[in-house]
Amino acid sequence: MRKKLSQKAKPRIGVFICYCGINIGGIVDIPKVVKYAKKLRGVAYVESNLYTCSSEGTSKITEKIKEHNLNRVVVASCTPRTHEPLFRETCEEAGLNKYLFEMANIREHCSWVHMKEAKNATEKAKDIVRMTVAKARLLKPQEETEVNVTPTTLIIGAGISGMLAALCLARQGFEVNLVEKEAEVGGMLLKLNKLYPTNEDASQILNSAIRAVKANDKINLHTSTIIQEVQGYIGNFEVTALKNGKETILFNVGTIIVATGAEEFKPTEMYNYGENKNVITQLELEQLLKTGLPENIKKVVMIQCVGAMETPYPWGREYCSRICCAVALKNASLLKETKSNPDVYILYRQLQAYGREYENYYLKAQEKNVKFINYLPKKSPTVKSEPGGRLKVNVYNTLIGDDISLDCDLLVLSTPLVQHEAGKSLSPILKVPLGADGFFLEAHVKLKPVDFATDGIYVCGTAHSPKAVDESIIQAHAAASSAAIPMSKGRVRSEAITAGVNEDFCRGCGKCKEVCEYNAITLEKKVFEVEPFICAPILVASVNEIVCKGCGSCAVACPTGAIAMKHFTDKQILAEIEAAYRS
Amino acid sequence: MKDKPEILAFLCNWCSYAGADLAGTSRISYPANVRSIRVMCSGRVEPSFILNAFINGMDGVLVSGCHPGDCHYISGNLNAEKNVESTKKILDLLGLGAQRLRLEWVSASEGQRFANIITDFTSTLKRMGPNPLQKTDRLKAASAESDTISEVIESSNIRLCLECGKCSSSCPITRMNPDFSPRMTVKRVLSGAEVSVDDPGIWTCLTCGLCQERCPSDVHYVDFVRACREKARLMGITETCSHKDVLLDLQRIMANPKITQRRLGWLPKKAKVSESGDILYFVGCLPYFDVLFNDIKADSIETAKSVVKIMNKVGIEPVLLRNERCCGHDLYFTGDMENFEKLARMNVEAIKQAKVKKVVTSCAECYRTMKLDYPKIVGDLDFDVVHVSEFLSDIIEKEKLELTEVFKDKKLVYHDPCRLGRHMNIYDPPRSVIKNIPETDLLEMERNRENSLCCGVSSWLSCGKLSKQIQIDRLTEAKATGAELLVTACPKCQIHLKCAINGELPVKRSKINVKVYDLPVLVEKALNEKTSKRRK
Repeated sequence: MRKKLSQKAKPRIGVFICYCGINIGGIVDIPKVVKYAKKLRGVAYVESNLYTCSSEGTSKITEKIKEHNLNRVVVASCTPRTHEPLFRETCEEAGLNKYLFEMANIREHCSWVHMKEAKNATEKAKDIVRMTVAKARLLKPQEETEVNVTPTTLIIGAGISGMLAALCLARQGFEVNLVEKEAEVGGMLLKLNKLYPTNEDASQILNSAIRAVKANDKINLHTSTIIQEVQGYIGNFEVTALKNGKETILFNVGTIIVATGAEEFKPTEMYNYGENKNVITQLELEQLLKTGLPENIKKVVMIQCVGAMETPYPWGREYCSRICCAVALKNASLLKETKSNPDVYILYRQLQAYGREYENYYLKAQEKNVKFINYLPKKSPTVKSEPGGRLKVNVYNTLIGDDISLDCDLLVLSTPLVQHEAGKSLSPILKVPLGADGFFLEAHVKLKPVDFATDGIYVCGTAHSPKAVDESIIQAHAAASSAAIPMSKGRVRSEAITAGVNEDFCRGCGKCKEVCEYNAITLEKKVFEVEPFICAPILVASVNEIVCKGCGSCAVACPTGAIAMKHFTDKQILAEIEAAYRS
Repeated sequence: MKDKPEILAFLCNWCSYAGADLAGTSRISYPANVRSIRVMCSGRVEPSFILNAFINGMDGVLVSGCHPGDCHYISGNLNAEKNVESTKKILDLLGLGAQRLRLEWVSASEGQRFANIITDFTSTLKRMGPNPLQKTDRLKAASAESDTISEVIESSNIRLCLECGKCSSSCPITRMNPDFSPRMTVKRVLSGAEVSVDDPGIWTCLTCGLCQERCPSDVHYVDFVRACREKARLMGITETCSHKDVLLDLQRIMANPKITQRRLGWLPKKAKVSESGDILYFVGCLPYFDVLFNDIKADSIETAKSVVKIMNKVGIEPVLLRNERCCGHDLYFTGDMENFEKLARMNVEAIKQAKVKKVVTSCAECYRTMKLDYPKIVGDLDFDVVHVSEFLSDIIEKEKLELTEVFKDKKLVYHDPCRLGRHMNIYDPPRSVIKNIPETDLLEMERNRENSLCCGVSSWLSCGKLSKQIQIDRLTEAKATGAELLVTACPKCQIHLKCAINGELPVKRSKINVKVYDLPVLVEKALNEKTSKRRK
């Protein structure tokens, strides 16, 4: 029987200040902050820990809550975006409502950004703790509502990632709606020849996946279908899709997985691509190797990092696309195995052949006499088209310190994978972010690698970032298993951070309803009967707490303060403002 | 002394807060003079938060959210944009400078951008100099010994109460909420029961004065309530006014002598004003109302433009104070005497320096406050204070102003503001002005003159369910007379009545949709035609 701690009494705040190893403690003077925190009004207990998020740290919190009868907890450590759920759970286990907990970010917002200003960082840490304590004094317990989770998922994209995620979920017994914008499933793998490092046929892997998907009666496959609108929340998404350009389909699903893949960057106007038909991309080379290399190809030059690792364009292709070096090695080896056995030169900046497998792959390519030339980004190769279609490639070979000239029949450009238009347009529909590189951005690179910050939506495959087929498949399984969690539980607790109306102050003006994007607010006509009068009717706002997302726009629109945001009330925020700086 | 500008940043949870986190993870350094407050959405940031940051002495405020199109809540960031734009205008009016407030879009992947913004903002603020407002300027709640109001009753004749109940039966609040009762409050005080200053009745009262108008025994209930509020405030008990206290905060900011406003931007180019003369036009808070009540189309500033135009028409070039501060009526009536006194002294000093004979105001509250309440602070005023209705009535009578038939065949009804009517006994001048507009019919509501119904809100307190019911009651009454136009003589009445008409209604719009006109605007419209006729 859990003891419910008195939560209406005067605040007794426990402050737990974290060293985080040397991450905070190495810059911020923790003992000074501890001493300062003890003096703050409402603080009943202060201690410091080396790693508050460790099991030792959290059990200390539980212990001290009970020992000192704490009814509010502040942890001064890292960003709440990482460990708020963990510490909230810790409070719950100690019998404290989890909304009586607040975090002071003295790492990402303090020690890590003021590493050379220890004194200022310490003063700032004190201020941040003071602000958080000011809000903590005013925290109130909140109750979460539970919602049902429909045990159906929607997977957007039927490439290898989408299909394998679909199989993983269908085999666990969940209904799967697999939606693909093209007429044919398979995605990028349809265009691939062989897969590295095993050199097996892409079509073999693909066909076995397609067979399994079509045979599984829990998977509803919809091709030529695009997503138009997504409403709702985890457990209850309402998705509108358009099939064949005319038929509207409505899906009611509990979770959504984004597996929309990526496309190859087409290097128009780079290295004569588009002008000379003998300049192609690696993907186009895959096609060529599938159909058969023309016999007149005697010399092939490949240029790596075309349109990658550059200063950011609108979509910021600063990144290394991970797979192009392996692809070049694969295709170079395959070229050497053709009847023509052309000379192959790979012009590279840094050869990404990581791990045992790819290092071997690289050695094999060298054994096959593929030649490797290192070039500098500042002195990129130049290409000139010759009459007859041949190409002259000039490159500064850094290892010999001189320019060399290569005449070739085929110039292959290794370009990065990029986000495609369909993926970009899906971002505002799902309300999920894209990173600086244009790919979908996960909630946390380590702690939530396949989840979006929005509950119930997951991502896998090259939609997330360029990766090899095996890596995509692993991620597809990860996304499927993450999606299975709420669906197998059948219920999920919704955040208690919603709006609430104080009817006495509500004028029924409707400004809150006007700004709410989720239709969470309705105005109801009420007639107040107060003896002996029957008062004039009034409209009063009412909030549907399940649909309310807790953005707070209604609270700002309300002229009287009738509608308020729980856990982010005016008073709480004003307390933080007042406490921000010392006079 | 601050050596670095103090910045307060509001960061939205999904993008900007994460972007700031990324700056941390990437170990990007930026100045240490920023403190962040996490909100779920940038759309949560109230103008009152921003103003409070400045009241607390901070030099700059950053509001940061997701890029347009990426808001986690779809359009919250666009709401933030609107709120910030409007607050910037207020900061410009106050003379603090709109550049102290910045709105930026920072996504979760833009750690470097966040750091750059802080660095850049810090240099901007260094150039601008520190905020003239300092944290130490804030009102310190003085302590009072007891929390009873028995001491207060002496000054307000409470002992004269006959318990007849006329006050409660007249009270517009009691009519909607029988738990509120002036008679009950007085009875409790007289029977020795300790009525403490945090009694909700103290803050719900409209101070409209209908009770004391009807009281056969000269009980000054309005003074009683006001004095209770003063006492309550000294004990740290206050009520948050509507619009998140923004209006009262603005008044408190204006009470700071270090504030130099820039508030004459509304003057049309053709308007003629002068640095010296006999007549000063006291504009009041109209430039601020114009920004804050844009959404209900209050058009408050039109009153000021109309007054100046009319004055120019009769050959008067009024003096306008460059740093005119709020008259302080709301501070007075919510018990904030410290700041009220500051405003009173500064305004009177500025008017004295202008060496004018007469001050004309278009606001009923400014009128009452300057004529009746300022002398309590500064002693006798050596200038006359008149309400614009008196001024207009005067010049119409002296045949200096000719009005045209622009409102031909229209029926009008006049709403007596509490502060002009019951408080100051001015009933006829506005009516005589309206009657001089040719071919119109001035009707009367049943509750007129001393019996006029309050517009439902006083000093921005207790706006809510009750006030809306009162407003609908009043507007229904106006419409029921058959009038199409409702004329007010107070910008507050105009705002409160227009607010009720704007937005959703529990009754059919046709039952209440009179057009609300402020008196000077009505007169100015009746002027215009003549001007254009002359040109022909």
